[in-house]
Amino acid sequence: MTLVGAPTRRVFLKLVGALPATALLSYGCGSDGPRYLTDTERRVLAACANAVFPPDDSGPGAADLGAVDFIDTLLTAFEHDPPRLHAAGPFSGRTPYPADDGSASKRFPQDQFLEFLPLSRVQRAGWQLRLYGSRGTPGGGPNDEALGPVIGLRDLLRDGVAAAIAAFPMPIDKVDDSFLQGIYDYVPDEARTQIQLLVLQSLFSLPEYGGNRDGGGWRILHHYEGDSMPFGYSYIDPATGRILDRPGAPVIGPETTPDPEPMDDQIIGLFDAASAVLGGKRFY
Amino acid sequence: MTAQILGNAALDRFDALVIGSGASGGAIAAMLSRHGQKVLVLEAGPNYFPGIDQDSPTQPLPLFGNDELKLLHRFQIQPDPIAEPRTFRHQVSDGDRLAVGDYANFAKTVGGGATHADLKTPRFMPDDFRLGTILGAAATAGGATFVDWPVSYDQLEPFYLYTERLMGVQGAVGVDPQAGPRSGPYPMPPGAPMYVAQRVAAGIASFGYTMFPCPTALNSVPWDGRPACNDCGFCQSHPCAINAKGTPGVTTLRKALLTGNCQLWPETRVVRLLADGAGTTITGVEAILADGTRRTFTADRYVLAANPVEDARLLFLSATAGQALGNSSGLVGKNLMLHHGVNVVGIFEDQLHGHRGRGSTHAFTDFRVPSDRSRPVGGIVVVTTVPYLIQQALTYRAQFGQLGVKGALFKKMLRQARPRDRLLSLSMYGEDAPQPTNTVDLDPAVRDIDGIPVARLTYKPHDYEISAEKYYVPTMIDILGASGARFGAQAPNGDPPSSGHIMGTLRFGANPATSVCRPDGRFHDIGNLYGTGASLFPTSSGFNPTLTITTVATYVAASMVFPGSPERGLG
Repeated sequence: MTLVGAPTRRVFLKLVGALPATALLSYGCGSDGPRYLTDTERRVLAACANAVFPPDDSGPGAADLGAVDFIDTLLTAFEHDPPRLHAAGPFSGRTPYPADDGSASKRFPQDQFLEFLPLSRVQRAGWQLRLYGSRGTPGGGPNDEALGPVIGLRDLLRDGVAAAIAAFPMPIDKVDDSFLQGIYDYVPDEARTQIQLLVLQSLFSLPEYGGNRDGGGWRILHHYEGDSMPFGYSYIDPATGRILDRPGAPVIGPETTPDPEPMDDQIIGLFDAASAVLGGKRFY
Repeated sequence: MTAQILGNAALDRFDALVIGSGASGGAIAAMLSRHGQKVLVLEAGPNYFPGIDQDSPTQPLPLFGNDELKLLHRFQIQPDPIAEPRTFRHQVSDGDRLAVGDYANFAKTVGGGATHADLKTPRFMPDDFRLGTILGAAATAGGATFVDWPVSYDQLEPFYLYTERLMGVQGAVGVDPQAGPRSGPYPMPPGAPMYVAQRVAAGIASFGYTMFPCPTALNSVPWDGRPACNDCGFCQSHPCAINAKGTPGVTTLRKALLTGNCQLWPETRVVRLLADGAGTTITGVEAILADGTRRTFTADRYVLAANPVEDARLLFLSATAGQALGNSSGLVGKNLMLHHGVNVVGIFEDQLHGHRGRGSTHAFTDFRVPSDRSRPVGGIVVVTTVPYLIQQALTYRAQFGQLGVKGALFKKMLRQARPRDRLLSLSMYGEDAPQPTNTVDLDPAVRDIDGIPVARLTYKPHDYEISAEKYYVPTMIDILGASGARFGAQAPNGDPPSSGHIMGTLRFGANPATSVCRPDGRFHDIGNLYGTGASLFPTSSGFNPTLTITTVATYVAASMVFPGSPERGLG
């Protein structure tokens, strides 16, 4: 596979110079649960996660926010009972119950997203196929003959990482984590699509799924408060019966805080280009 | 989930068996059980409403939450396209199929697809029930099959009012210029108007159009033992975490279960209707239970209330002598309608905070005036937002990845161009012309996880809706400009349309040669089988269908109890 923009072995050797000590360390993992991925696979996936969403002055990258733990938790979902696929709910305890007057009470719910729901027979069968594929499912999939076998996500990622390592222009233990981000471009298309999807899911899903560590993914996108129940954003004023905005987080009125990061010319230029592609209009 | 039998588990003989527990099935069960009929409801999906059948002042909270991952990406209630795929093609000449995946699918869960709809509940307008007459020669142009409904707005009006109270609909009278007459007020006033709606109000008014708070089955005040909505921001495509939304699981279905006349089996997939030798009487249904074993259930009468695709699929799966059950008209599975969803998106430079609130609170209907033959017939236009972060990131990645946006620039784009803050959409639910060539049947080779043939959709839009799209989209974009947007453009349409509004396949009418079911919902061919809800719709209107689905189901059920005088069922 030829990939535009991927560094050549010669360029890499010139860039990396001597091997940093950190390159040999496995990528840190906060999960004590079961693992499917090896240390090498975790390191490569962490590099890929940071290629999708890199660390910079605005905050950490996807790897530091738990993308690899999120992926490994998914891949080992069936090693838990119930499988760690659908968090229960309805509340996380990150917001309080409202008081009778609509203000915040001092009572917080338990984090019910830490519990996971049992799967139905059909749900279980679907996820079994998605994760383990026809090859890892007794009897295979129902459409192996008509459509070809389902490749399980576990195999897809393992094989994709192995292929990327093989194609990368130098041994991965010779490069540091920053340069290893380039390996993302060597991941076969189907696996790369899945990695990208999973990384974005990890960044912005509930932290109970293993990513979005401490809500860091939400914070990077500015005043996104995450799950807001049971407090919500509006309340009925008991004195007047009117529906009112909660202070600092309006539904009805305009935003009450300054724009934390307005769009700059580069971003506006992208919309200009996209609008032209779609046959839209620029109004000013 | 544990597939516990819910409701009155002691019942062992049933007047009616209802397949599906959503907007239609819940309403059927509520009306029948209210009048003493013993009802068995079989639902293919799991139950996430613990205590749904327990009589308590406030219903226990559901097992949902502000959780985009499990609802939109991990198939908690949507059918998993690996386990239960559908296939799709535009036309017969495409071959067996063009694609396999998730097409026009509906949630499979106790409460059905209404569970995660945002439940905008406008009524259809009076002209929607007589489009065959209004359109005249255009009713059959290009192969379309517009017809009048066998029931009028006036006949359904008391059922609309009843259903609005049952579901708990917020709204204001006299604000929608296209709305039909009402015999009573909405149960509750409109809720919090989202800022995004106010942001476009002047722009819409500058074109002479009338924006109004869209009727919605969501509590703006405490109602029927359920709390008021607190605008948490997870209304679109998410069930409500506090039961403020008037979904079947907290309204119709729960009421049915609390009568003591109803029994509900979750995770019970009906896979075949059993008929007598002549195919004129249903004798039972075969279902696969939660543990994978099969069982036959019986009742005096049977109601198909899954959804238009699964209803038709079941009739084909139950074929005798190669012919779908109830298909002497040859119309089973035909005239599938999906609503022609058209979206224009405006980019704003100020903060719209579309993640707070119900996702969309306002609409206008000025594009839908069927009696004005000088312009195409469009649909309701709702003002809406893009509230969810994973969805936002995936959309930006797909759209701007083509422009080379990745890595640090992608991250910056997500930070600065936060879709919930910058994007505002006008979405038109364009009427989808009924066409007998748009169909549901069985795929010849693709199977679900139980080895059962899956539904195949054959669908291609008609010039009727395409001309409406071309006519109204430029105006929709200009409205965004008049509202202060810096850019405005049409988003690519879904193929097939992804509106989530699925109608037709068992159209009802008086003539057995041109319809599958009678005006009271009973099959022309089968004396104890009924269609209901959206499956019966002969035309699709241009409004969100859930209220009319529930209303038609209530009408059908009342007709089952009081043949010829269904209004008695409302008393």
